[in-house]
Amino acid sequence: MPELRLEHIGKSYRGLPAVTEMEYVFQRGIYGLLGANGAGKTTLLRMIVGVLQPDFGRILCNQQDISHMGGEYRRMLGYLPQEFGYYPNFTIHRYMKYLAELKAVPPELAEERIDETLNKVGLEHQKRQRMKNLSGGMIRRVGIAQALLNDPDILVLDEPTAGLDPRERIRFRNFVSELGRERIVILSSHIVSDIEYIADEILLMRAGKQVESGSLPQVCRKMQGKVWECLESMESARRLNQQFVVSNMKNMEEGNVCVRLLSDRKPVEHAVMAEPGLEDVFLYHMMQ
Amino acid sequence: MRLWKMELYKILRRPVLNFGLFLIMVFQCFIFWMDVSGKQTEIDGNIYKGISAIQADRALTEDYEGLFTLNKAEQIVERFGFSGYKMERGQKVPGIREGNFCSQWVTDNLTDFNDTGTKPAALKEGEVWKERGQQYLDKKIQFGYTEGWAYFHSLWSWSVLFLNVWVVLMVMPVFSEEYSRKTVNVLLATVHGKGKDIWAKMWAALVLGIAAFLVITFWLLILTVAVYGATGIDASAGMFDYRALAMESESITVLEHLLQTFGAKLAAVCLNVCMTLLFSSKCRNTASAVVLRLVSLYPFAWVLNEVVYSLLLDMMYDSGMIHYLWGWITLDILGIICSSTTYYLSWSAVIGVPQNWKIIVKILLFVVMSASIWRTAVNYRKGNKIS
Repeated sequence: MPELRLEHIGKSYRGLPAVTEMEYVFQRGIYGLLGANGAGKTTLLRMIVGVLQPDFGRILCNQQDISHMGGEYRRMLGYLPQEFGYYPNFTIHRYMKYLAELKAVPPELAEERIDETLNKVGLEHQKRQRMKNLSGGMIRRVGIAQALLNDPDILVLDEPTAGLDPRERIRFRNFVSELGRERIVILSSHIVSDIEYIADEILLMRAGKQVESGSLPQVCRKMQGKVWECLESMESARRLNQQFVVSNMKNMEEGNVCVRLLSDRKPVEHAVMAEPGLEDVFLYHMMQ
Repeated sequence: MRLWKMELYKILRRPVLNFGLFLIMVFQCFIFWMDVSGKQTEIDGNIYKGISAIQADRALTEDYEGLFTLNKAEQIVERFGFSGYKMERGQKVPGIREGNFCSQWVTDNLTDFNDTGTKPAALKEGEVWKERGQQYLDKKIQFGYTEGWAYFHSLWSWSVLFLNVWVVLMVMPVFSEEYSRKTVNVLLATVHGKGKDIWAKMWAALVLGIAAFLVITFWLLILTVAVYGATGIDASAGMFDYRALAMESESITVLEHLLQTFGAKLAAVCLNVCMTLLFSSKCRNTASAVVLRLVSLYPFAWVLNEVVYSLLLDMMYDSGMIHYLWGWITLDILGIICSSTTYYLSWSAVIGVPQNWKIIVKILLFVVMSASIWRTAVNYRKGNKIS
């Protein structure tokens, strides 16, 4: 089973740091990369798959620098980029066949693997359709299928659920959970619930830096005493919204509002401590 | 091989552009049809038109085939006279030519008719005879019916010029489309994405260029042989290409000349494919890459030769720098660069350059093509280019 180690890696674009001093070890399991847009998630993932070279630091796979491993490393990879490109005139089948060849899937196994992966994403009956005729969600599913084509040990999925409808998202989450049992799955998303449901480990990124990491209970535990709930009038709720980071406002009976907010100290006298969730953790760190 | 086939399929899957190659072939047919329909020859008072004119000229030339001598030239002039333009009363623009292939050839090449436009009075007159006419006798040229090959030669160059534009349109998307369609991220993360696939893409592009060149060449060859016949292939190439006569100690045959021309034009297509791939690997937008490449393809080479070279030559003459060794070297370098461009290779200009230049041109082409291929691979592999 591979181990992927990030050693102080960093990357800048025209002098602006996109990822800074990132250090982490990935082993078997599902890793959720969480961060706002521009946090450096995509840059980090592209460095992990070798599309980008880090400006400094190195990435090791089983103690070997991936930049020296070449095709041997890429043989272990499955990658779904954030912007998944395709050839509009290709049928799904032709596109998958092309990628099977690029991924060095033996020709005698290719058809079987194509059918298997398309079946997993529910596109087995559409494989003769041209890609230009597919919906955004279907294209995303083709993207997921191609990432699985070579049965990768390291699966990197950048915003995999973008464009999927709720039913497809649930289906996707279930089979990613299955995949994570025997490989490294790194998925990035800004949809907190996706990460919350399936990730064994969570990495929170802000401005190119890792600001929090650990399992869901671990990262939530660190937020104990920082999440509060109180019942307020509409007027008072508006005031609190300006003063604190409010994670939720829910209208209650008699014109009152239940406010859930993040604060290092008790915000108002009658506020009660609440159980933190991943959304609270995310908001807390993003608002720092 | 499978990957190569897939890459070739990706390039060829552009029906509108594929039609371009068909258009070049139609253009060749049209020009041939125009040429044959306007053909006219006059032999001993008889006028022949169209295909009959070609057949009559072929039959007539057989009488004078072999080593061309002053005696043969005089016989032709004595029998048919010199060939001028037929002018109707009141006509200002020159009409079609008088005479036949033999009398026209003698008039055009052994006299100053092309400079003055008037029929010469005698054969061995003035400076032109010494400068040019005498050369045809000194170089011991083999006379034959080469009109078809002359036509083939000229139309071939035009066809290659058009073909190169088509090649740019077909080959440019090879890498730039991967960027613009954002497929590059997936491809570079695959086992063969940074190695075998890059070579498969380039090889597919090169094979496409060479195959298209062979198609238009053989199509033109078929048209030429069908209309003009294959006679004259063992005659001297100097009969229609003065460069072939001027640069060789002994005149080369049409066949040898065509083989050399074939090499130059093939090099033009290969160089074009390599340079287009380089542009493709550097530009994300296919349309702007095509525009840039087309500007560098012909106008750049033309300006370099016709403007820069001429200006430099004038400047060096005026300043006296031409008398220094480095002055000549500078001009030679520029001349070699011009001869090595796709534009001038398409015209087979390299045939007229000195023998030692030809070796340098071959080395230069090899270096430029190898460097382009290497740089293309580096550009494409560079992940940080694609932001």
